Amino acid sequence: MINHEEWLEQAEIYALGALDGEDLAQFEAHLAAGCPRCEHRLRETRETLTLLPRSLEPVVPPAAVKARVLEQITADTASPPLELPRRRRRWWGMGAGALVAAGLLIALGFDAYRTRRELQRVDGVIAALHAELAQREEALQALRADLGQAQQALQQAEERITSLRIDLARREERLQAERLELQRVEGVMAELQAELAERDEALRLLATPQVRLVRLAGLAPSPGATGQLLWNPAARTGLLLTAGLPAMPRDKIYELWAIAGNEPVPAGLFTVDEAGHALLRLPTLPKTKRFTRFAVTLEPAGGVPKPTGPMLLLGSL
Amino acid sequence: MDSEPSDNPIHLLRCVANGDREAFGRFYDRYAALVFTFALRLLQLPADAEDLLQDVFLQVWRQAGSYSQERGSPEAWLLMMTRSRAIDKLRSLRRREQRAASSEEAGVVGEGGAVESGAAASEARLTVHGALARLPEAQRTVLELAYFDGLSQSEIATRLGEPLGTVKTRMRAGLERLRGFLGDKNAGVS
Repeated sequence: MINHEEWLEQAEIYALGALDGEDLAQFEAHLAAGCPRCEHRLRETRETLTLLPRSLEPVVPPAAVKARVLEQITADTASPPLELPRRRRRWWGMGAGALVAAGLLIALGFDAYRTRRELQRVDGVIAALHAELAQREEALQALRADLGQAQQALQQAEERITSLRIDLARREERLQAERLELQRVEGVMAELQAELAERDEALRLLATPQVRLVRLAGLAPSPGATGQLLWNPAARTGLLLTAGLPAMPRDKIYELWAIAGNEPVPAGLFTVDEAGHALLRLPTLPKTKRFTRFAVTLEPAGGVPKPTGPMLLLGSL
Repeated sequence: MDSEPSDNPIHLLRCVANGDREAFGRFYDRYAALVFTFALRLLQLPADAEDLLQDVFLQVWRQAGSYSQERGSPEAWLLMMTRSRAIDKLRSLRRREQRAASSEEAGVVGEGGAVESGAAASEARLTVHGALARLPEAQRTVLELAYFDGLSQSEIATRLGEPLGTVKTRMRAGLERLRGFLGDKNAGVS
């Protein structure tokens, strides 16, 4: 039903004096059946438990107690210790002799009666003094305990204040971090809204029947690159998407050109991501010109009014 | 251990069993403070603790011959006697107190009150150090309620509002730790 390890665990609680109910009945039956292992664990646990009283701050008992104990065992000596029952029985076995001895003791007792009464009176005074001393010791002890308690309470209060201060500082820190985070989120939201507005604008621009698609092909420096330009001739603006353009050096930027006849007009600056992708919304270009071709060149950062760098993409209407 | 044979408590008890009063005096001097401290923690009242101290040593005088080394150290034997006598007294006080409470005579201030507030009051009076102080609070509490206040496992579970299994686990964990400290020579000794 129960494995032996569990008995050993019950033994510990039994030694602690805390086993009760069904557990207690079962364990006692188990012990009664004889179990050296449990007996051993009991002994061992009892030794361990001596640590508990030994962990208390020692209090010295009043000396009067020792005097009383010694007095009592002296009185006891006439009737020897109970721990030797066999010898005791033999002693009683002397029967008549013992009775005579007891009679003698009683007689002597009567003789000493007066003296003893006087002694008892003195003892009474001494006991009263001892009692008073014990009372004072107790009062002193109680005062010490009160002082100790007050000091402890003070210390606890100080600890609590310190911990509250630390907590407050921590909360302020957290609040500050939350404020910063809020600012950051607001910034991101504003950016997203701006981007959304821009996309709306682009969509509106392109959702018209006049829109034309211009394919831009990669040239010698990067033949794999491509571009698609959605061009709205009526509004003179458009949207450029690229793919496969090489990453530009830090001091360079891509520039889109709208070409009328042989004259290139700047149509926007852009950068590309790692995949060479870019999305550029073109500015509104001058009305006077009729644009037929579009090209992308690599230019110094900041852009230039006329192309100077290598041409990477080119396409025509 | 390192004490001279004449001061060895086992030897002293053997002498006491043969009626040696001087040995008894030495045995008393060696353990009276421990027994008294323990008694005070158990019963709370100095007067009760003094009576218990007296009773226990009288029992030592009368029953030294029944002490057997195989059943444990003199100290464990002595402390077991102290505790079992004190717990008997505590239980009868508690019963009396329950009767008093049921007949609504709770106004009487006496031993009952001291027993009821047991753990708290004694913690104020007797500070704990050594091995016990090194136990985690939860383990210390269950051991103290059982060993010092004489509560059974179920009573402790009720008082703490914890499942019985939890109480038992904490007791065993506490004892396990104490066993560890026992190896440590500094444990428990002031």
